[in-house]
Amino acid sequence: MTDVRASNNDMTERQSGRTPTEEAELQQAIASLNLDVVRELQIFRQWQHSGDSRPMTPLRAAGARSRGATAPSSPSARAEVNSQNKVRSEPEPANQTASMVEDLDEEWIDDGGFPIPIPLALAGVTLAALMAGVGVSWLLSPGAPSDPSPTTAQQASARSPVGAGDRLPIDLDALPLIPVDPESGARVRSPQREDEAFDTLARVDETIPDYRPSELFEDETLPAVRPAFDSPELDTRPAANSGSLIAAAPNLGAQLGEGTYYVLMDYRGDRSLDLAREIEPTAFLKRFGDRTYIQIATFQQLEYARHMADALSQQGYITTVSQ
Amino acid sequence: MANGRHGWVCQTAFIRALNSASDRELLEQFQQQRQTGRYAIALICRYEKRVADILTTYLRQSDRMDEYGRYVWYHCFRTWQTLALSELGDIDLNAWLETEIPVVLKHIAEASRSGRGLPEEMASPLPIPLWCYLVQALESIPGDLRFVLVLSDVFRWTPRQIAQQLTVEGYTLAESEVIPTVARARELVWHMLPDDISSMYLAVEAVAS
Repeated sequence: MTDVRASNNDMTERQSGRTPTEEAELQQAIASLNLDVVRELQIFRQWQHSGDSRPMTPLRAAGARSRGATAPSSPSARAEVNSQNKVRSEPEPANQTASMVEDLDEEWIDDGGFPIPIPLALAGVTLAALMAGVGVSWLLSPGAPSDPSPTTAQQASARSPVGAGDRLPIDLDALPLIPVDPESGARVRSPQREDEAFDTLARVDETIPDYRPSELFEDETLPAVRPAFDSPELDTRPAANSGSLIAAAPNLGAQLGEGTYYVLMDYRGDRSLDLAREIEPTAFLKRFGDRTYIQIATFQQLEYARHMADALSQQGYITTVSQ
Repeated sequence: MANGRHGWVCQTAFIRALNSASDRELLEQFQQQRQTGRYAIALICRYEKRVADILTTYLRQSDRMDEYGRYVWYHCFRTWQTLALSELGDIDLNAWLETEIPVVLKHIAEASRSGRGLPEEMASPLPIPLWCYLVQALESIPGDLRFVLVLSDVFRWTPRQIAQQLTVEGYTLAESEVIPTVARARELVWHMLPDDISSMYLAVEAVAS
């Protein structure tokens, strides 16, 4: 961190002599490099996975541990975050807890507990049962004198190191959410992990037969639609006239519940990404195993994902929906 | 103009002054003065035609001759940086190239059989010295800076698209920070290019005038 900032200072000194022509030429030189975006994605991921062994850059401050948080803008703020990350084992004040939450979907697990002897645990269970009985009796007759020991859950939790009072001191609604699809307003609390998404996609793929427009739709009278991609091997005939691919998946019926549903298109080079971004400017690449897709949108309701896939299919785009 | 061949650079007094230097002297200075690019340019000028001849011997006619050439040159560029000169005795780069290039070509052929082949970035209109330093700079900067810079400058993604892609990768960067980050990455690349490389290839108007 210090080294990078020191080098930034050096750069600033040297940069003062740089002319606008040199700046433009450098940008042009970089732009003329013949790179592959998927390979760049792989390089970035490799760097991420080896990030612990690399010098931390200012940009690295908002790493994977704080996915839902906004990156600090100033170097000092970044340094503060980094220092917080380094001393994570120390007790954290309640007002810092929100920034340390890695993933709200994860269960709150107290994994640093102390070993409890079995007799003591049995005694605790017995005591808890007694207190529950007292609590029930108090509910039945509130006016009756109660035992001086704590009888309500709040009182009990006040003495417990992992009681309900300490369990969720966070206002969940106040925590930052990650917008997955700002255009459609769909939001989830954290992006689905790649391996999980791939597993899900693999399961869905097992249930969806290979898409063959020519086999599914023989109606040549349908109006001409825009081809999805300029790929010679791509069948540019109408992709669908009713329903989306999801309809073929028996385990993803319309009535089934909520989750995270991805509307995906095959990635077939930069042209396909450009086309996808005509539909959704924030479309991005998502890699499942050895295949790369363009993620158009994410919805929490299957119906919305299906509706979008239907609309795109009617325009000739070959889309798929994955949970 | 940064694009095009660099033959004119070989004819400059700045490079011709090194014509009398031996291969060993050029390699030593190349290794010791990392912030100076003229020794690499001098080596490339000296052996560019020889490398092309060796490649023609092995490849005869290939549509990708330039890409093979760049692959070989980048291999030499990186190898020479760490070549143990003290262990080599008398250095004859002509003989070294005749031995090394077939090994490199064999490596490419093996990679092709496994479906990889020449990397995409081997095709480039940039002069070889500038291209070698630029590729090396991109390989040297932190991966996050490289990713943001490449998405912005090469693929012309908007800050919003870049921020969105980073979010998916579990990496938080505010959209408003993308442009400053690209500028910072570009500065870092600039810093890694030797001064004379920048002034010769990226400020041609000044040289031409």
